[in-house]
Amino acid sequence: MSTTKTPIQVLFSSASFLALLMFAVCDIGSRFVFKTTNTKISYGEPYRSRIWWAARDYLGQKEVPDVVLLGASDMTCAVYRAEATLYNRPEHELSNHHSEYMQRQFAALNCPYKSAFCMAIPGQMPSDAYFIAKTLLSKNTKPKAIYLSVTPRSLYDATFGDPSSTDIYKLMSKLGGVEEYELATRNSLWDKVDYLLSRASNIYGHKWDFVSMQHNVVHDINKVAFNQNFGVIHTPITIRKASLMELPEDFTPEEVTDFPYDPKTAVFENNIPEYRARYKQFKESTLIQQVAFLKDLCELCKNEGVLLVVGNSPVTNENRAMIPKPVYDHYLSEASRVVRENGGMFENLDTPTFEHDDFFDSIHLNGKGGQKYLKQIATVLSQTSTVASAGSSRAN
Amino acid sequence: MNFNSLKYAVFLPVVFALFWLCPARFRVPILLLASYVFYMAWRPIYLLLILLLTIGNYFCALQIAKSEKHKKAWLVAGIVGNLGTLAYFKYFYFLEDVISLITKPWGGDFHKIAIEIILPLGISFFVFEFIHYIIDVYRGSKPVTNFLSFALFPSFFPTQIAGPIKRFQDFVPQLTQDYNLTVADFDEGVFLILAGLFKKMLLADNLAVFVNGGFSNIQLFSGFDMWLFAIAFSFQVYLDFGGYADIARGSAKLFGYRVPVNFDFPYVAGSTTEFWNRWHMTLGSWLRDYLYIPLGGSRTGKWNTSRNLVITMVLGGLWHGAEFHYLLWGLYQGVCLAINREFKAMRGNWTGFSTFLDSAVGKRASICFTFFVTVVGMAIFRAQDSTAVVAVLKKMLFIDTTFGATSNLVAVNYPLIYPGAFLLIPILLLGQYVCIKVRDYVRENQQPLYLRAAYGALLIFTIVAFAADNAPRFIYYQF
Repeated sequence: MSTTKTPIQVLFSSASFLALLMFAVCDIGSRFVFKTTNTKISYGEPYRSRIWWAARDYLGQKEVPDVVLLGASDMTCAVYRAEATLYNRPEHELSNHHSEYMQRQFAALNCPYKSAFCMAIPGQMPSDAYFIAKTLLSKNTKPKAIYLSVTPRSLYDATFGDPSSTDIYKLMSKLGGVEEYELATRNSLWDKVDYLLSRASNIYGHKWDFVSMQHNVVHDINKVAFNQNFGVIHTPITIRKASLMELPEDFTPEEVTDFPYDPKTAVFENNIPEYRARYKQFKESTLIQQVAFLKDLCELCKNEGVLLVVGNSPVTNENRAMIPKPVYDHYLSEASRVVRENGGMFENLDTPTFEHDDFFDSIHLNGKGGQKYLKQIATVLSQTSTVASAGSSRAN
Repeated sequence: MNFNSLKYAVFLPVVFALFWLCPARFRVPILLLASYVFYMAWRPIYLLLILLLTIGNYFCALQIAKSEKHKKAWLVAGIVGNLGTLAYFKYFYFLEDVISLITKPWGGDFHKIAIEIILPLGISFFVFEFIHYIIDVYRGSKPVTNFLSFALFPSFFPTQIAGPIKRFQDFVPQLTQDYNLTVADFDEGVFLILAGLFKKMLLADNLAVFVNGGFSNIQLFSGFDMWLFAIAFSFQVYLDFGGYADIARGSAKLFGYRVPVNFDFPYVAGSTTEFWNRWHMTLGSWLRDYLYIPLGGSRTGKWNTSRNLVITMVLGGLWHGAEFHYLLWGLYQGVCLAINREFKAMRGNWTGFSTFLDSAVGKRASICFTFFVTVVGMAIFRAQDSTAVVAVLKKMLFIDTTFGATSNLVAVNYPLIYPGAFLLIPILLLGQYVCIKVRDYVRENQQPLYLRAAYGALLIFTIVAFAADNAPRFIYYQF
């Protein structure tokens, strides 16, 4: 006797279909588990990027700092080299994010701000600054003021992919708060599909959490098997750089170091070829996108009652000369216009007060130049804080 | 389009649905069109190459079958055309180097010829399929008269980029068979794809980082470390290529087609000869049928047989790429095969030793020794150039202990990859035996449906949750 199976019976006789069904059940189950437990911080992050160290440090503080410094490597170099020069010792960027030098300037200027925290990360774009502000610098953890350092690269970097490709975005997205940008920041169709999949599947969306858990298990097993702490990286950075080019960045706290300024040993490094590549192609689309994020950042700060000061960071004449004058002027006018129109303050600190020997290379300041820059920022913040507090008292 | 990409995860189901929803007479054209789209996803212009080779070989084979007088001339023309195309795209720079080296004393420098050649994906594989086709037609097989069926043979997307190298006598008849997809075949296809993805994305891609770290910094590691890297690479390349082959077979199965098996647990081989019967089996059999046997095979005496083996394997090594380390690897394999053959012939004279080798302990010792020999070969294969080959071998043979007399690797513990490698290598070494037992058990016993489904769900979970980010291409895509 032969019986014909119905389509449903056929479906349920397939191991592949049942496997998919079982996975879907696990996925729904995991969604429930993740919702009922605090998974965001508890599982940590498999890759300890610069932003991971900064966010961890920021969230671990007893008191919210008064001023948060944002920006790219122009800002990190200034802050940490100034700090290294102040103490005359190498300064580890990842283990201490406070700027003692700036805090001393605040004190000297009798500024109402007392503490300064550096959340600048090399390569940070205005979009990254916005994601940080939206996620970490709002509500209960908002500072009194934010200083964002920008250079032409911030709006024109030809090597920049899309806003969702950065480590900053990835971590902020995990911490939550940037949901409305999730689709818009992905430029390619396949990236959008990938994002939608990560939303559809909880397991895929929490991939990093699973990888983190796996790390912990493997570390524990290795600890027993080899009697060594495998949580500490001994692998020389040269090997990691060579072998891990395709993987996200991962640093131990003492691997990013800045050195004090010493006029006897100071050298000027030529990074013109690198910046020639960065300025190679002025993409109007990147400018429009980043200006829009700058506007969003201004509005966010206005709504949160946080003072935002955007400063044009000093660069050498050689670096500036690589950019056609109309393009440079366009950058400066667009950045200042959007900031001023949306409640922020714009300061052009790229002035002749900075000399060639203040620079380590064509765009990054050395310890001497860094101190000069921080002093100017402190002065600007000190003056604007008075204006802001006068404004707020009038509003009250 | 990578098998481990989101694009393929969309492409395959779309083609699958079109294939089974359309009337049977449209299936071959649909697959052919899909295969060309698959090829164009990489570099559209190179579709012309595969089309021209297909048309050329189609007419060439028809002429070979038809013509009595010029049969051989057509065969030679076909082989020269195929090999010439391969040589131009794959060996131009190599030949340039060699000629420049030879003519250097007379001021020759052919490097001045500035041509930018981009190696077309899969060329080594489909050119070998074309050569097999015209030689077999020359030897008496009937040529394929239906152009669409013939065109699908080399371009069939599951095997297009990295094999397995098919035989047209097995593949083309399947295209005209009346076949309805069964649940069992569908499941087999899906499970093969999942297993392949697991091997590639979880094991091979994670081992890759460990291996890359070692082979790009040879000077930093000790001999013991290099052995670990070489073992890890042996598994990486096996799991990468084996994973690809599984996905290829699984994808083909979804359309009702069988493509040949390429790997059969190569690292449990008890001799180099047996290794080649288990490793890249379709390339091994191609080299045997179209190179080794035409050279005289084993019918021409002891020394000539050894010579034939060495020539075959050197050319097999060069098939992987126009690099001196591939040539050295081929030479090494050829010499090992020749020694193995001699040893086999002579072992009858040593009764006691022969008895030991036939015992359980002896068999395991043979497997270990073969693995040791294979790993040395893999280190040659992986080294970036001939200088690196020397450096790696010096380290592995403990001739060069300039750095790290003791293992540096114990201190190397990068999250995810490095600590995982410590556990992964022993698991992989022992895992093969477990896998063989499981495979034999599954073959003999019908598994409960829910057990198979749970296995499938576990594979999906591990792939989704733990696959390495930014998955690199399959290693054999470059050949």
